[in-house]
Amino acid sequence: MTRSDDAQKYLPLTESMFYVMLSLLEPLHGYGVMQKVEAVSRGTVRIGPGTLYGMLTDFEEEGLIVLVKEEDRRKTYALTAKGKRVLARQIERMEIMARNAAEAKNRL
Amino acid sequence: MSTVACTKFRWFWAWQDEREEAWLGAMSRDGWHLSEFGFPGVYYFRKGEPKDYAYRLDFQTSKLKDRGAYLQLFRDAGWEHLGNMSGWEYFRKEANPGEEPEIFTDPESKIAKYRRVLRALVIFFPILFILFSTSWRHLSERGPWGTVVLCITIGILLLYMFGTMGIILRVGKLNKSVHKP
Repeated sequence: MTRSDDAQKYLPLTESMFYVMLSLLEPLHGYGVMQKVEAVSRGTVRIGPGTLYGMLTDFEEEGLIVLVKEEDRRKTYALTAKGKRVLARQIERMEIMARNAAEAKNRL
Repeated sequence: MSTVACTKFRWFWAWQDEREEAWLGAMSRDGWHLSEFGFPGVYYFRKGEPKDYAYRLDFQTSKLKDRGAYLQLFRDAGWEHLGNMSGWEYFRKEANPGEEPEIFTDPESKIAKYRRVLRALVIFFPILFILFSTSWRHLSERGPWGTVVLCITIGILLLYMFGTMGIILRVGKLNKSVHKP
């Protein structure tokens, strides 16, 4: 199996997953992720704690993120090399979409 | 000021969690705030100022890896944890006008919640099945009592199947909303 293939099975990411992974390019704890997602998505995406907890648990199990610090029950995570590969592949897909979107916009 | 309390019994099926959330919210708007739980279906309320609370339910089992971190995340996000009633975790948050706070913000995580409920229910199936087959086998020997036990067992089995089917239908509906064009 090639390296790109092990990223393939996670694609496409949902919008929420994309923003959570994006925000974990720098280490953040859960609530930090929620705030960052809302800010960088300009309020278009909000993530509730139930959704985020499940996502962080799954991502950690899949080795996409790693626990870097735990303080007062607050867990700080960061993207792993595998997580970065998945995010990079997702971004490639989105770039294709963005080019198509820009082109289609002129014809609407 | 004296505290006024009231107790209510109300039954909700596992897939009616949204109806339950709405009912608790309506109680709070009347000034009755959920304070404690008793047996399944028993709710204790305390009288206070009417408030616009959003109540939300999650379902977790012992499989929850780190309960402390789980509850901390909810607290950080402004949710008050009210307690647990047979696996159901009760949270509430004061809602600003025009705002609808949610703990689950995508259909995938809502589906995952009902899957946890289903997994918890599946554990009871072998127990019910043994109960059913035992009472069936002893039906002829035990006379009228055997029939009574069998009827009760069938009743429980039907309720169990009704509950399970309801959740499966709910998951199916949510799945459809994920795959809609």
